[in-house]
Amino acid sequence: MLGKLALAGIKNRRRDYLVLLAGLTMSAAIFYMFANLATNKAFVKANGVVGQSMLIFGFGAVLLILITIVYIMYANSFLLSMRQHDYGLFMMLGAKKRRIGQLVFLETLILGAVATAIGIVLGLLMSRFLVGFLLNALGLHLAHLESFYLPAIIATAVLYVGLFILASLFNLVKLTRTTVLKLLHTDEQANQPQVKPVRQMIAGIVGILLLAAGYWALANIKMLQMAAIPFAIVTITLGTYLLFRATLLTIIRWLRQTKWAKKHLNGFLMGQLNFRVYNYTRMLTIVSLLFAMALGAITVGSGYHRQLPMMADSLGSYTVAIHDKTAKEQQLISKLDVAHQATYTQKRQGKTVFYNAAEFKQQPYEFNEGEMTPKYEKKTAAQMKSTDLNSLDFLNLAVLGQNNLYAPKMLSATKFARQSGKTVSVTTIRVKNIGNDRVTLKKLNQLEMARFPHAGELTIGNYQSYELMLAFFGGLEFMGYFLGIAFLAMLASCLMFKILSGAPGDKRRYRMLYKVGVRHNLMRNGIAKEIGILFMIPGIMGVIDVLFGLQMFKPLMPKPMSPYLGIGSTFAIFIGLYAIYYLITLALYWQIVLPQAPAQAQAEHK
Amino acid sequence: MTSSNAVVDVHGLEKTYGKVNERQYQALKGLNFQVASVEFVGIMGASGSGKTTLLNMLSTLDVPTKGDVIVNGHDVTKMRGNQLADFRAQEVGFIFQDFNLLESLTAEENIGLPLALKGTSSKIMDQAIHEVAETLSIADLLQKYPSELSGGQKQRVAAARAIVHHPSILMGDEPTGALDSTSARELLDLLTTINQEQHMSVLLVTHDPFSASFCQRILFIKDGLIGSEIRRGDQDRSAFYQQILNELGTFNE
Repeated sequence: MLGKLALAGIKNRRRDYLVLLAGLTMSAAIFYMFANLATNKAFVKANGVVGQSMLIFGFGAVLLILITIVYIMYANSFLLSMRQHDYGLFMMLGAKKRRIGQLVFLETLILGAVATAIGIVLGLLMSRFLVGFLLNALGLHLAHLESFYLPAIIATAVLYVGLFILASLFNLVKLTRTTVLKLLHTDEQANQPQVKPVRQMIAGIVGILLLAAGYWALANIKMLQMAAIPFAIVTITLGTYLLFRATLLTIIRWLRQTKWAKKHLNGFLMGQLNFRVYNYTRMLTIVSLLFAMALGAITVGSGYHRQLPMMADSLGSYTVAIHDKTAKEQQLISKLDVAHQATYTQKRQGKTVFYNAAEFKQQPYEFNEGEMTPKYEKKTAAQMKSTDLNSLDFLNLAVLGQNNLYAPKMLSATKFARQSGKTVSVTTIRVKNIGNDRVTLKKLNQLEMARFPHAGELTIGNYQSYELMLAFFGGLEFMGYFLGIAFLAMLASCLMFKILSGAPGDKRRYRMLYKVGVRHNLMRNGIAKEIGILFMIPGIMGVIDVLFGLQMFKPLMPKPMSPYLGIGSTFAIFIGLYAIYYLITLALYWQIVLPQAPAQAQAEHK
Repeated sequence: MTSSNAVVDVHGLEKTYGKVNERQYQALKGLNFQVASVEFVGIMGASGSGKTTLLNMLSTLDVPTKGDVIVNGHDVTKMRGNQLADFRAQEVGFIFQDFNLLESLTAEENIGLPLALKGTSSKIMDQAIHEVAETLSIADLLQKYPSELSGGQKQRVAAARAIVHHPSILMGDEPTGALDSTSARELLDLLTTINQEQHMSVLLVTHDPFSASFCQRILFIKDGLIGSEIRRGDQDRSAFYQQILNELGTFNE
């Protein structure tokens, strides 16, 4: 009978359960996708050319497990907050604690098992389609990537079911130890935190010191190696927590005393925050870390995405060189966004390749004189020195065999006309942005390589260098985007659970304000400010974390790449996403919390 | 009584719940009454008689199906949106059975809320809060949170919030409902003081004869209509209490 009642309780709140189940399922799916990548040794080996990438995968796995634990804790407290009133009621009506305990245990476990099962299936599908889509969008190819990988399924199932057993036990103990009255009236309890100035001060200073230590460790990852990451996770988490605890309350207390707090709903807003921030410190800490990791990961991913073409550009003067271009190749070339293009005639005789100086007068050859960033300079035959003629770029235009190049020589137009040898035309093309044109360039390169194959070591043109670098860094780029999206999704549901679980209490409060005569839009603005501040605090902290944390990737992004280059646009996009997420949460909150005006009720009546 | 000096003027008030094509329930069936300026009026009736519905209409928390409600010269049935909110904030003071204090604010901040909504300067606000706190002898409670106060203290704070902005009428919905007898008596004495010394009209909705005996006039509601009306006149309170009991005795027959 009690089981039936419990089931009825779930039915009544199916929307909340759906949110919960969706969140948990997503989390399990993300974990499966990651486990699929990280536990697949063949995949990691094939794509982890760079020494530190193993480290990155390990780091990602540890982080994801930690975040998952915290995430399940939040989901569980959300579940508990939904159920405790019902269970309190059952106990008041005379249900035995033992029986209630069993019900709670079963409910949590069933929910967890269902979420895990659906999550793994979803993860499988997502691995197949989403990962493929992401790779496609980024123009990457990762070897040994499979969507179905048994060890990953086992790892996900063991972790999630294990965590849910723990959560069930926790709920069991918590519910059976709390008194019935407390269960029935949890919403109405309010705790007003004490402020002890000296302690706060010490906590604040220790917090800043811990943060500094964490940032230092990340900057010195080369020296500290593997130890840097767990060290940084612990110090930054603790540091953020202490700093929030010490400063937020003090700031709110101070604001409450000002005249500003006595205008309109400001006082109420500050009271709400004062009342919440303390309970929310842990959540805000976790969210700030998730924010930092999501933003950091995406920044690194997009850093590679943007900077690999740039790095490739710094290596040579032309993107591709096409010999004796065909009609098909010409068609492809016309699709490119070309910055510079020139065609020269070669005559190849013995070990020498001859060029017509007149052609160089008409279309000067473009050299890349820059060290780190490209600096193009056009030169006619007369302006070319022997070092120019023997620059690798120029030599590469005529390949004789493995590790063997023709020696270039300039001839006047008349001498060139008389020169015998095999005539070949070569077209050098520099595109404005390799990244934008990579699909066309790939086809063009394939056609060229099919007709003029050359040995592996040599790369002709920046496009081939780009492909080589993609093989090295593509795995990292992918990881960056992937983890970024995963962390962002988790962050979203973490904040959502915590904020929505506070909504029932707020509903009462806003009802009171409504009765007292607070204007509707004043309440709307008040809620927008309150939720906005709760979003902003972890956001600001997260941005600071990322600005320092990117130091960690310096060894992985050799010059001229830098983890800091062009982060502005990435930050802007990310903050835009975060803002959209804020607006969605706000709209949901408005809908739950704001009292309906009687005029509206009347309109419905008619 | 002319309606010119009436603070509340209710005319032909009807309220029907339920949609047109559903089963309907008529809670109020055409009420007429007035509350004069500086009058202390009680409204009594059994559960389900329409007391709370009436109060919700008067305080604009609900909209009548038919009829007029004029409070201090404003026809509240014609107001919309912000006008309604402003009307509640400026013209009416409320005391509820369950206090309706915001537990995230101190007593002082709770009391100051109606003034903050008006945009009163903080200096004047402080002055008003301390004045009203002195009157209600809660000056020493101002820094406390509602969770630290007893029921009687909470209701005093709620009363202070209700009168701090000098509304034209103070409305109480069973304000003694959650109080012990001593606190209840104190609160009713307080309402009487507010009525007489601050010259504020008070409208008390209750089903408790003891609370009602503090009023000058009592309206009895039965099945959505005013059944009868009695006045205290020159009687002392205990005699009036007896009269109320008698009236209730015959009224409920």
